[in-house]
Amino acid sequence: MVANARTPSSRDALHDAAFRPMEAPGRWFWPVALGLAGIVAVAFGAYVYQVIEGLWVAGYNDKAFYGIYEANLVAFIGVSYGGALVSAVLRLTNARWRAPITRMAEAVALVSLVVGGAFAIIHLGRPERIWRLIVDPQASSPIVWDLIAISTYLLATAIFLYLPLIPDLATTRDRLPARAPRLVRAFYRLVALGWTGTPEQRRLLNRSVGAIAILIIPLAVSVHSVLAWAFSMTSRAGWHSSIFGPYFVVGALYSGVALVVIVVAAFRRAYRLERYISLDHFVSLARIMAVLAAVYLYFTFSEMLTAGYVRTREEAPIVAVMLEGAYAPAFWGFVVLGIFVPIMLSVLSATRSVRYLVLAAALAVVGMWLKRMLITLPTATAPLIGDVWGTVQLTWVAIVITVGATAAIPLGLMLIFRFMPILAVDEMTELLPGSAPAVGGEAR
Amino acid sequence: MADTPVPSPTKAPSVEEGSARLHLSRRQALMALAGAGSALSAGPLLGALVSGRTGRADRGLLANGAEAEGARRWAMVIDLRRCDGCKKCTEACQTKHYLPPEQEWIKVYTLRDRTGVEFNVPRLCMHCEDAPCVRVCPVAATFVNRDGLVLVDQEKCIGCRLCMAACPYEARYFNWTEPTIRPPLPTIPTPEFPAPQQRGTVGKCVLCVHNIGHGELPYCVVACNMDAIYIGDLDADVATNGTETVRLSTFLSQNNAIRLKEELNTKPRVWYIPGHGEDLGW
Amino acid sequence: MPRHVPPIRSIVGGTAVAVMLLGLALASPVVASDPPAELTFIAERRAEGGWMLRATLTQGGAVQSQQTVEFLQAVDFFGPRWIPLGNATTDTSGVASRLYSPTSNGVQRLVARHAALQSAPVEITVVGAVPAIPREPADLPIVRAWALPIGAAVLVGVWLMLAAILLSAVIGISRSARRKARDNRLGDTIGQSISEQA
Repeated sequence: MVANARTPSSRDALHDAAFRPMEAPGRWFWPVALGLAGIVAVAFGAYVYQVIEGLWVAGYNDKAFYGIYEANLVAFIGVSYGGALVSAVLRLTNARWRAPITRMAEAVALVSLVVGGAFAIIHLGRPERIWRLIVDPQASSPIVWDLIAISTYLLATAIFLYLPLIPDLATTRDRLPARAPRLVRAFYRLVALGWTGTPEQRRLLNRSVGAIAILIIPLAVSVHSVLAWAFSMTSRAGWHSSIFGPYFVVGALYSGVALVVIVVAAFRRAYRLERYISLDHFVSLARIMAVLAAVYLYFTFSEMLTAGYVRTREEAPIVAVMLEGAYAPAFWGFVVLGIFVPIMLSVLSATRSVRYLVLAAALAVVGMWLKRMLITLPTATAPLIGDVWGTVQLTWVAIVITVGATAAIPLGLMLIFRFMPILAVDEMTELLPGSAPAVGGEAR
Repeated sequence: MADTPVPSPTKAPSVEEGSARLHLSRRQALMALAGAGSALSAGPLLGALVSGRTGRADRGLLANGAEAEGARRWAMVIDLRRCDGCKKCTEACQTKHYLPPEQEWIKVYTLRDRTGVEFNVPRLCMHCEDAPCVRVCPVAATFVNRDGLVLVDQEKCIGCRLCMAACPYEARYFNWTEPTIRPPLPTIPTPEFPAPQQRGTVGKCVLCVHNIGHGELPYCVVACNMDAIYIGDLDADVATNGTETVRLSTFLSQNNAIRLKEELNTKPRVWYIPGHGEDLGW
Repeated sequence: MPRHVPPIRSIVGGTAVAVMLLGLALASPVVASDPPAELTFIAERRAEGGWMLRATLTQGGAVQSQQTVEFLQAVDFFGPRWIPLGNATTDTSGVASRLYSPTSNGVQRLVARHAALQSAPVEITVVGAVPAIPREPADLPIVRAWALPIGAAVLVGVWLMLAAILLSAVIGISRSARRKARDNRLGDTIGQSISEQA
C-alpha cells in the first residue's frame, strides 16, 4: 500500500490506474456502452417521431404548454454545476483533496451541459429554425440570453477541461504504444502542445488555469440565472419571483455535486480506483452537498412563505396545490427524501460509507429533478382566467427521450475517458507530494 | 520537486519537426476553435446590435409614441351586460380562420363572482401596447404592426412558447400537430391571415386585420347577436358594433369600462363594460 | 210604387260637393299646417379651445324653444356612420348650443338633427386636439436604451478574456516547448562537437 504518488513505483501505479479506461477497460465496457448507445438511439428515434408528428406526442396541450422537457432542460444543465464547484471553487480555496476527482467532475460538467443544451432544442416546435436565433435574434428575449450564456459557458468549460489536461495529454502521448496509428499519435502531439513540464510551462499553465477558474464562476452563475429568468421574466404566479436566479443556481450546485458523487463512485468501482479516491473524498463532497441542500431548503421555504402568507389571488392556488393539493405528495416527498434524508445521510457517522453517501446523492439528483417538475408544472397548468386547471400527460415519447438523455451522460463519460486519463495525474502529482490522503483506506 | 521526465534528446527533433510542420496549423486550429465558440455566442448579440432595437422598430409602430401616416389605434370594447355566452363569436372566428376546435382565439369564459352571479366574458388577444409576448420572443416572430396590432409570423416562429408563458390573458394557442382543418383552396398564409397554420408555431387572434384594413368588421363583431362586441379606433375616438356607433372615450367613461389585469401594466386595448353588479375582480 | 231614381242633377251635384269636400280636406293641411321647419347649424372655434356648436331651430320664421337637438359627427368607419356628440335643448331664441372638445385632429363633418330634420353639414378643421385616451408612455426608457450596449460590452469583454486565456496558454506552452527543444538540440550539438574534439 503506497502512501504517496512520488516514488517511481507509485507513479507507475497511478498512471496505470489513470489510464485504465483507455488501456484496460474490462469486458463489461463494450456491452454497457452499446447498451447505452442503443437507448440513446431509441430516444433519438422518438425525437424524430416527435418532430414529424408535433409536440402533442410529448403530452403537451394549450393548458400545459411547458412540462417535462423544460424541467429536463433545467435539471440536466443543473447537474453540470458539480464541475464548476469541484474544479473551480475548490481550486480557488486550495482544497487539495479535490485532485483525484477534478477530471471526472470537469468531464461530467461538459457532458451534461451538452445533453442539457439538447433539451433546449428538443422542446421547440420548429427546431430547424434555430438558425434564426443567431441571424436575427431579439436581444430582449431571455432565450437569446440563454443561448449566449450557455455557449459562453460551454466554451469556458471546454477550456477549463482542456488546460489542466495538457500535461496529461503529454503523458498520454508518451504512453502510446508503438502500434498506435499515426493519426492518433499526431492528434496527441497536437493537443499536448509539446508539454514537457518545464517551470516556465508550468507557470504559464497555472496562471491560465487560475484565470479561467475565476472567470468560470460568474459564467456558471450567469447560465443558471438566465435559465431561471426565462421563467421569471413572465408575470405568472410561481415563476415571477425575484429569488429565481439564486434559487436555480443553488439548486444546480446541489444536484451537480450529487451527480459528481455518483459518477465518481461508479467509475471508482468500475475502474478500481479505490486507492486514490477514498471515503474521505465522498465525505467531503457529501458535506458540501448537505450545506447546499440546507440553502436550497431555505430558498424553498422563503418562496412558499412569501407566496403563502400574502396569498394573492394568483399565487394562493399555486401554494395550495403544492402544499396541500395534487402536487403535495411530490413536494413533501422532495422535502423529506430529497433534502432531509440526504442531509442526514451526509452528516451522521452511522451512515459514513460510500454506499450511503451515493444513496444520498442519488436521492438528491432524483429529488431535484422532481423539484424542477414542481416548478414547471403547477404554474404552467394554472388558470389565468377562470378556475379550470390544465392537465398534464406523461407520454412514452417524453419518457423515452428523458431516459435517453439520462443514458447519454454515462455513455458520454465512458467514451470521453477513452481519450483522456480518468485521474488528473499531473495535478495529483503536483498537489499530493507524499502527504496524500489515506489512499486505499476504508473503501467500501 | 521532481519534474516529469524530460523527453530524451533523441526524441526532441521529431517533436520539433512535428511541431514545425504542425506549428502554424496548431495555432490556427486553436484560434479557429476559440473563434467558432465566440462566434456562436457573438452571433446572437451582434445580430441584435445590427438589427437595432428590441421589439422590431423596423416593423412599424411600437408603444414608443411614433405615429405612422394613416395608422389607426385599434381597440375593442365588450359589453358584458349584453353577452349571453352563446359563443357565436367563437364559432364564427374558428370557421372563418380554419381553426381546430381547441383553438379559441376568442374564448367565452363563464365566470362566477363571489356572490354567485354568473357572467360571460369573451376573451381575445388584448393587443397590448406594452405586450409582454413581443418582448420575450427570441426571433421577433411576434411583432407589432403599424396599427398597434400584435401579430405572429409563423414562418419565423421556432415554437419555444415563451410568449404563451408571458401572456397574462392565456390568449395564445399552439399548433401541437399538423392542422387538419384547412382552407378549401390553397392559400399562402401571412401573419395577417395565418391559414393554414403551421405545425409547431403559435397562433392567436389577429383582430381580423385582414378585414379591418379594408372596411370590413371583424368576424366576432358581425357574429354577435347581442351586439356586445365593439371595434373602435382610439385616434378617431369612435367605436361600433355594426349597429350602433359611439364616441369611444365617452362610451368607456360613462359605462365604467375596465381592462383585464390592469395592474400588470400591459396596457391592453380591450375594454370590458361590466354589468349585472358582479364584482370586478376576475 | 214610385221609382226612386236620383236625378242626374243630384248625382253630379253630390259628386261635386264630395270632390269639393275632399279637395278641402286635402288642401286643409296645406292651408292649416305649420310653415316649414328649418335647422341651421354653425360651429364656432373658441379661443380657449374646443368648438361651440350652435343649432337654430325655426318654423316658418318662428323660433322653436324647448326642442331637443342632437349633434353628430359623420365618419367613415366600416362604412358611413354617425357618432353622437351629445344633445342640447333650444333656448328661448331657438338656439341649442353645446360645447364640443374634439379628441382627434383633422377635418370633421358635423351635423345637427331634430326629429327627422337634419341640418346641412358643417366641416371643421381640428388642430391640436389631445386624444381622449392617449398612448401610454414607455416605462424605463433610459434604462432600456442603455441595456443593450452595456450587455454587449460585458459579453465581448468576457469572450476576449476567454480567448486571451486560451491563446496565451496554448501559444506560451508550445513556444516554450519549441525553445526547450531548440536549446536541447543546441546543447547536443555543442556536446557532440566537444566530444569530437576530445
